[in-house]
Amino acid sequence: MQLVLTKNIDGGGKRVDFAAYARSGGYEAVRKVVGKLAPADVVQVVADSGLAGCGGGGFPTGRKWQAMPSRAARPGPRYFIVNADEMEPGTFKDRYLMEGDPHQLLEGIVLAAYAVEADEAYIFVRGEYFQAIAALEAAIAEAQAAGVLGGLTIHVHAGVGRYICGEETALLNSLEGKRAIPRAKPPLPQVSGLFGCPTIVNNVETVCNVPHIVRHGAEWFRGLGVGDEAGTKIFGVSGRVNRPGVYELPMGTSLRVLIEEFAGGMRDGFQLRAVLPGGASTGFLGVEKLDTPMSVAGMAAAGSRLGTGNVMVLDDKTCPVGFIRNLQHFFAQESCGWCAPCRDGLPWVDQILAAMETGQGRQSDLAVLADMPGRMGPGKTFCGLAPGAMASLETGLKMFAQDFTRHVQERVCAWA
Amino acid sequence: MRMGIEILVDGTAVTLRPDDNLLAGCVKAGIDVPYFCWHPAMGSVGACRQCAVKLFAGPADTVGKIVMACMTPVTAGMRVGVAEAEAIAAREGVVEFVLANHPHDCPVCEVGGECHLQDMTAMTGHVSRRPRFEKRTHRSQDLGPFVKHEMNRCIGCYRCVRFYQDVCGGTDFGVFGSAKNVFFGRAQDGALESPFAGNLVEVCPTGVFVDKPFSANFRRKWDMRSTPSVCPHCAVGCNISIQERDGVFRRAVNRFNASLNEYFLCDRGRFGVGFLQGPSRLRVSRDRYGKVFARHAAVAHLAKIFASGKAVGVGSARASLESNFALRRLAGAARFYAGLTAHEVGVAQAALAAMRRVSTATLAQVARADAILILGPDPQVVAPRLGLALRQAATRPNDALLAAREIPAWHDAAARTAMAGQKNPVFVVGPAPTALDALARLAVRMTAEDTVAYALEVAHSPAGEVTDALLTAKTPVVVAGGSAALIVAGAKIVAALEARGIKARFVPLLAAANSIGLACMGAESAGSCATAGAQMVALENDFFGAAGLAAAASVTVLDHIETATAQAADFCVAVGSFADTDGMFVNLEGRAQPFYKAIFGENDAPAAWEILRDAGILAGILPPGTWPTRAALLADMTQEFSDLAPCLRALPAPGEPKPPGLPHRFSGRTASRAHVDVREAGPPMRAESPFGTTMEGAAQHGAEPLVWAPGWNSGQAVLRMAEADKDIFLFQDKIPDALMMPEPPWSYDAGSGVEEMSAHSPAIIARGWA
Amino acid sequence: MLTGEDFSARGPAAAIDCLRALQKERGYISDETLAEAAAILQMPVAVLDEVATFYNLIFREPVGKNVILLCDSAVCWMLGREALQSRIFERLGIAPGETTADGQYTLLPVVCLGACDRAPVLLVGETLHGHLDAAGVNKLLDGAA
Ligand SMILES: Cc1cc2nc3c(=O)[nH]c(=O)nc-3n(C[C@H](O)[C@H](O)[C@H](O)COP(=O)(O)O)c2cc1C
Ligand code: SF4
Ligand code: FES
Repeated sequence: MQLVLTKNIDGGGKRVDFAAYARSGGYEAVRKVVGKLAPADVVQVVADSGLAGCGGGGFPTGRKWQAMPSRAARPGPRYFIVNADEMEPGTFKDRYLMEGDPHQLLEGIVLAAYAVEADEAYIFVRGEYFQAIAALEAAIAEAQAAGVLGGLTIHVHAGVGRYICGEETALLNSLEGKRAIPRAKPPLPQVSGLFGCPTIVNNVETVCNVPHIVRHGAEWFRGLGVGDEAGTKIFGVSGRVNRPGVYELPMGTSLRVLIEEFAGGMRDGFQLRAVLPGGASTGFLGVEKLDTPMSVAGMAAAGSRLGTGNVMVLDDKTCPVGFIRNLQHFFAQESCGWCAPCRDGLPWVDQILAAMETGQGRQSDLAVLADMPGRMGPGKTFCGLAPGAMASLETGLKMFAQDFTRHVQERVCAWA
Repeated sequence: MRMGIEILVDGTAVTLRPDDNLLAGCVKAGIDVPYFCWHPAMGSVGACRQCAVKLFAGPADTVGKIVMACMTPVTAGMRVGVAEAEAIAAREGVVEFVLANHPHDCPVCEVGGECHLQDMTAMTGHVSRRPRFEKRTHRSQDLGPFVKHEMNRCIGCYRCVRFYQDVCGGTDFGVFGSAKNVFFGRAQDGALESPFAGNLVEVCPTGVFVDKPFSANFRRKWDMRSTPSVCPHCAVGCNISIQERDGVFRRAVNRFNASLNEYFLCDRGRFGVGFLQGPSRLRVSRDRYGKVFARHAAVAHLAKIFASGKAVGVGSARASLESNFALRRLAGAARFYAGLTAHEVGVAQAALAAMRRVSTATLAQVARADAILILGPDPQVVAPRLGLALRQAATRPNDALLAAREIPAWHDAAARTAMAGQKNPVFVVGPAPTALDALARLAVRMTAEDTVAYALEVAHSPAGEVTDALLTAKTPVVVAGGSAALIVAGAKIVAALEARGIKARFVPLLAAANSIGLACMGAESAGSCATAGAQMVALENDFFGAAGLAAAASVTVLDHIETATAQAADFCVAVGSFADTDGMFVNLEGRAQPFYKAIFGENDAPAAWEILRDAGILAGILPPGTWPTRAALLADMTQEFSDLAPCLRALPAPGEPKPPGLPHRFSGRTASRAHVDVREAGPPMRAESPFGTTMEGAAQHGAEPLVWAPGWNSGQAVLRMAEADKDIFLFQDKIPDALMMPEPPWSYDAGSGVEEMSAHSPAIIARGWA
Repeated sequence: MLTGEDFSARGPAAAIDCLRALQKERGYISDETLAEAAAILQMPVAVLDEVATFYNLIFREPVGKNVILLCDSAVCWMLGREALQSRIFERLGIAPGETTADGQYTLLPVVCLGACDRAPVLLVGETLHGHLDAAGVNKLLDGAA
């Protein structure tokens, strides 16, 4: 199995420095491309590679870049931004990439900025990632000294906490020093982004793929996946499995292979009940779906989403109502407070679930809960936060219907 | 001419304007789509998610998708479902969400019965409450004497903060916290600093911000008589509605006028009108010893003075055209003076000359100007609502920029992002700092003389930053005031631009409600009028400052407030204020604005002109039967002053059916005077008003000053009818060859924060402005 | 005064960086510090407070010398973060949101720390501690003392 993104990372928490990165062929792509290939050609390679955004949306990166107006059409400042906010519960892949191999990300930034003709880049890292921030800052200093950044300025911006900062337009407001409230699209960030200028926002993992694609070509990248979708993917597994952690596997690897082979299956005494395949904003899949390929299309077909590709495993000894309550509490708390359904709807869901957990649930609450996904689904709220929250609620209400009813009828949580 | 775009709403063809979003279009077309965060003056942000409708991709699409109407451009042939089940459910859901934490305190809420939240709740069909948990609560703040804060009623639409910061440029009010704990208020308790804070009362769709003086003097909206009126507190003359009950003034609210104040007033106006109910109202006529006189005795006293031939009339820039004209007629043109200093007369005359010569901007045109030069004092201090219009011009999005990014102008947040803090060219030149300096591309301090010299240089020089900006603009505006010389210079700049074919416009900065009206009568300053032996008659004027009283043989004051002059007078005649009488002002745009008797008390004083007329007839100066109506007086007046001729057209045509003056639900009419007399009094008579005085009358949606429409009981109903007015302007036909005034001597008046009448409002006094 | 970067040159755009830097120096953002930051950034205090009160990790009230951020998201919850919280309460007498009387520790819940493979986790100062149980909390607090 071919490791691409993690091949330099030993997992021991030590970062790969400039020399080691260069030894492994690092910054070769920069030398190969910058000033030699037209920016539009770099965009084309990435488009041809089939690279899809790894931040949770799975949007084709090449198409995103193609929407950037050319410098000739839009003179003035232009920005390339890396989304390293990573606050989606259950997700820890970007931390791994940044702490382990920050130069890979930097090289990706140099190439991406070149492709979209940006003169300034930001890495928006969540503030609690102290080690990642230190690794990036050290790597930038090294890269600068080595002259591989060219004229590009790369800022590391440490966030000050709030899940919504990961939403790309809220991230832009936060970078402008404002409250992290999302912006309506259109206009796209490519048209009116940071400070109103053309801007691209990409996830850490997405950007880390770029040097490899540029070096080895689109064809090679497409060949890495096992199904229709391209590349490798950093999967993560957490919960009561034997070996929780980060696994780089071909896109399209099945959930079963990931959990049973790589994560070592369930711990003794625990059985797998369901998974959230791609972080807290995805819907539950039951045991019967374990053979589904982990790909954007595969997960969609199974009734969930690939999301961040970081799997949370729910076992048979954990109260699913409590688990969902924890998720809903998170979303309610992290709502930015801008749009009404999310701001006032999610806390209500949280209150109901909290009541159920303490035996105070009512039959009528179940009807209220059942109404919620329809009211906070896509399009009904301003951004994707509340619809993300509804994914686990909607699928959970169906999959764990009996557990919900039992909480209400027996007025107690069976796991308490 | 804008072309309409035809779309299908629930299968019915509707024609909307292409520059409206779908929500604005539907609402104006009378289709009930509920909303909270959208506001026509502030555009769309899509926050409340209340305006959900179904949008179908094409004729074959049967599924459609939910969109927010306020964020959706109107495109030809689009197919929209307002009555689709999913859209209805989404809208009801949003109301249920925002009500989860709402206190449901409607019975004790000042907004109950005129609440947009109540209307929208009913409109969505939401009727029963499901949330059963503790509500989140907030501590409300003391925001000063104007606005009361009841934060628990908040539904989080963000209108207040958008208005306060984005529209008014206020910086002491904002939104704090996040998630369900968003708090709209100040960082600390304390009076709101913005001079436009009072609009929060109307901007808020529920009862978070309420009019505090009104709250202490409260009646339900449907229990008040409401009359269209004109704010008397500066030369802008914003349109307001006066609301009264039982002969007592209750509150003033904004009255929409598309080319003037649109949706907003200043606090001097909104709360200054409280002087009507203030402690210093002059309600009875009296002599210097405090002896009270009835109306006929006051008339007799005045008749004697005018018959003596020694009467000197001092007119007023805050009194109506009618009263000024009547006084002038009785005293004689040569013995009629303006109750102003020579400096003020110079300013007003220069303004008048300028308005005859160059185009004057309406406030709406100011707000849409693409370059602005301000010469002289702070417009926000002298004429606050003008200051707001200038602010709007400075911060409004640039059309070309928006077009290039395909951002519709109503897409407020996106337009702001695209502008990235960039401002339209505004230049401020004058001796003192102004509130607009912070927005200005260039704010230059120089002496009054230098300011004039600078302005003349701009008028004549073909180059320079300011000249360049004005020359490249399409609709530049020059605002000038403070001295006659500066007004002349400002007008010269506009004339120079007009000569080059640029649609430039001028705004003279004037202080009093009827400055231009009085100037049209050509009176000289009262500076030296108090000659020995003169019998002075001062009309609604605290002219202490304008003329020494010592030499006069006697002083008679006609006024409705106790001023220093009134206190020193030998005789005070109580006359009606702008709210007690009919009258007309001409504002700084040259707009002739009639106002109507709005308060019907037990012992209302008549208008000054009525008393003067009676005195004139008694003295034999006027033939019996003179001026039976105000229209007759105005007809006389326009004979004499051709500038004022258009005023006649500003009066309602006789015989037009009158809309009712009382709301349909007006209650307790019979009972409200029962403690005085159990017999119900007949309705008050008000011959010339375009409004009836009862509940009966012609149905004429939109004309009612209370603004009600089926399903829309709140002031938000006005958002349904934003179209052009039919106001009358004096100086639309310019006299091209009229000579500009010669440049008068230098001197400069910066103006102060309040004027004579608002200084007597209890709320204004409490705020510390008086 | 602040060392390092010149925040005033960037104006309001530097608001978050400036608040973060000041908080690092002073522990939290008092009203005085807020006013100082507003002056540096040349922006109104209320507008800066809008920003300061929005974010989870800007503290507008005093916190202890050591801030313990205990993850309260799903995986840590599932794998026993409640036990860590109870042990912290037993040892230090503080519940989430509270500070010890001696001003040494503040306990705050925090959203998923992105270390679910090491759940349950907490962050003390800038150091992440994973795979914790109640005994581990003891060791941690003993070591720190
Ligand atoms: C509530 C919310 C939180 C998000 N958080 C993150 C995040 O932490 N990191 C991330 O890369 N993308 C996050 N996203 C997705 C981003 O909005 C955006 O789609 C992504 O950064 C684009 O990068 P990509 O195209 O490379 O995937 C979030 C989206 C939403 C709606
Ligand atoms: S701007 Fe002038 S006229 Fe308008 S409300 Fe204010 S004080 Fe009254
Ligand atoms: S009015 Fe459309 S979302 Fe608020």
